[in-house]
Amino acid sequence: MNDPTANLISELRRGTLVLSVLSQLKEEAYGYALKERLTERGVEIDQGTLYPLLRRLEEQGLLQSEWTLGGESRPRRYYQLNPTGQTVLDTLTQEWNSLVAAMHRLLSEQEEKS
Amino acid sequence: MELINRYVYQVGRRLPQRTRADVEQELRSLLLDALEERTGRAAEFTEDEQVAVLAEFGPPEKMADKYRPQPHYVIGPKVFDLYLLVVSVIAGAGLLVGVITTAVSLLASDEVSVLELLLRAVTIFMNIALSGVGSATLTFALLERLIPDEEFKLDDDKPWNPRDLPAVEVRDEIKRANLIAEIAFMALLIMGLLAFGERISGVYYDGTWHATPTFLSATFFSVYLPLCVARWGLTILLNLALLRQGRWQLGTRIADLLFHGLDIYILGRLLSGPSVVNVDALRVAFINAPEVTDIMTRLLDSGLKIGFLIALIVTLVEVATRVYWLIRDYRVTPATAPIL
Repeated sequence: MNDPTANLISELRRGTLVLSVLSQLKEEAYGYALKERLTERGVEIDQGTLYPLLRRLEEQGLLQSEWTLGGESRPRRYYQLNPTGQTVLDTLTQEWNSLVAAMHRLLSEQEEKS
Repeated sequence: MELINRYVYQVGRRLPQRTRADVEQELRSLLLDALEERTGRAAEFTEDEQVAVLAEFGPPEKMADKYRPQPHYVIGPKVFDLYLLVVSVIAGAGLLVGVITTAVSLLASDEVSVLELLLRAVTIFMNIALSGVGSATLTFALLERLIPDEEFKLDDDKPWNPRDLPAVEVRDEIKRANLIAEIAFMALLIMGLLAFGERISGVYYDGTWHATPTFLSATFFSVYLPLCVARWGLTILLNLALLRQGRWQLGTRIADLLFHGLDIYILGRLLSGPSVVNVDALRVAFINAPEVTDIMTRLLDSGLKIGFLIALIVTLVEVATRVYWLIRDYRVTPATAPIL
């Protein structure tokens, strides 16, 4: 049985994933480190969702990536925002802020009425 | 690392060729990162540790699905396994009907040319296979697009156990025991037929017991046997080369294909040429019941020809499959990631 509330929460969070990921890629990071960084900041994301998402964002021209052979560690693919990604991040951040403000107003009105 | 390799392989095989190697490299690197983080070690991960990490990544078909979210494909990952099963059943049925129909034609007529038989079998197979595969592809493509994801969960809720991942198919790998057994078998067959072929005979009774002439025809000894001995000898040489190299390489694969070409030639000769059965020997064997000779000759001839026909079709399918994998495995792909 699917829990409709859980589905709605999951859908709500899913909508924030791209912005969450882009916001953490001003500096380069490889997949697992990025996942850890997001978790530390309270954004839980499945590994099975994050890694394909990174590639998709790269295909869309928002990220650049590079394989790095660092010292004794194994090769890792590092992702970072490119200039287009930075522009998109700025736009999405503005949109997010206005959305949060609008939602805050909506929900505050509801609370006042009840 | 066995389960990690299997997982990466299962994801990769569901992805398009152009991105496969790159995604596989990255996925392996990410899995190793996760394992390293979980265990505090950089290598020698236990099966339980691999299972725990793979369970976090989720089933390979779902992972592959996420790597290709846009439906640029006709049949997507969520129905791909079922589609393959249906197509295999249709192709198998087509092949079976083609062989049976051709075999019946062979039994019903005395004079049938090999080319005509082959054409008939291939036409029947293609008719069934193409129309069946076409219908299945169309049906699955429509299912893929018309039915929403949430209503099309085939095995979505089935619990997934990483230990059940199928083994990685390594086409270059050789099985030493099989190669050695094949060499021994071929050597025995060659020696046996050369030394004792003419003694493959029966006995008859006309007051006292006598041995019949050999059941194998003169054409068998003058044409077919030398061809077969040459072919089996080549198999022995190829197997020896494989044992020495330790794995299949481009040269051995091409040689194997050429040898299969020789198989097709020999089977064609066996189907179109004189019988391998010595009718005179049968006449002598059934000297007391001459009417049996005709029936036996006919049965043996038809049975052998059906066998050769099936072998020919199987060989053709095998050659087509090997050519396909040869092209896929040795096609030059751009290196997008370093070797891990």
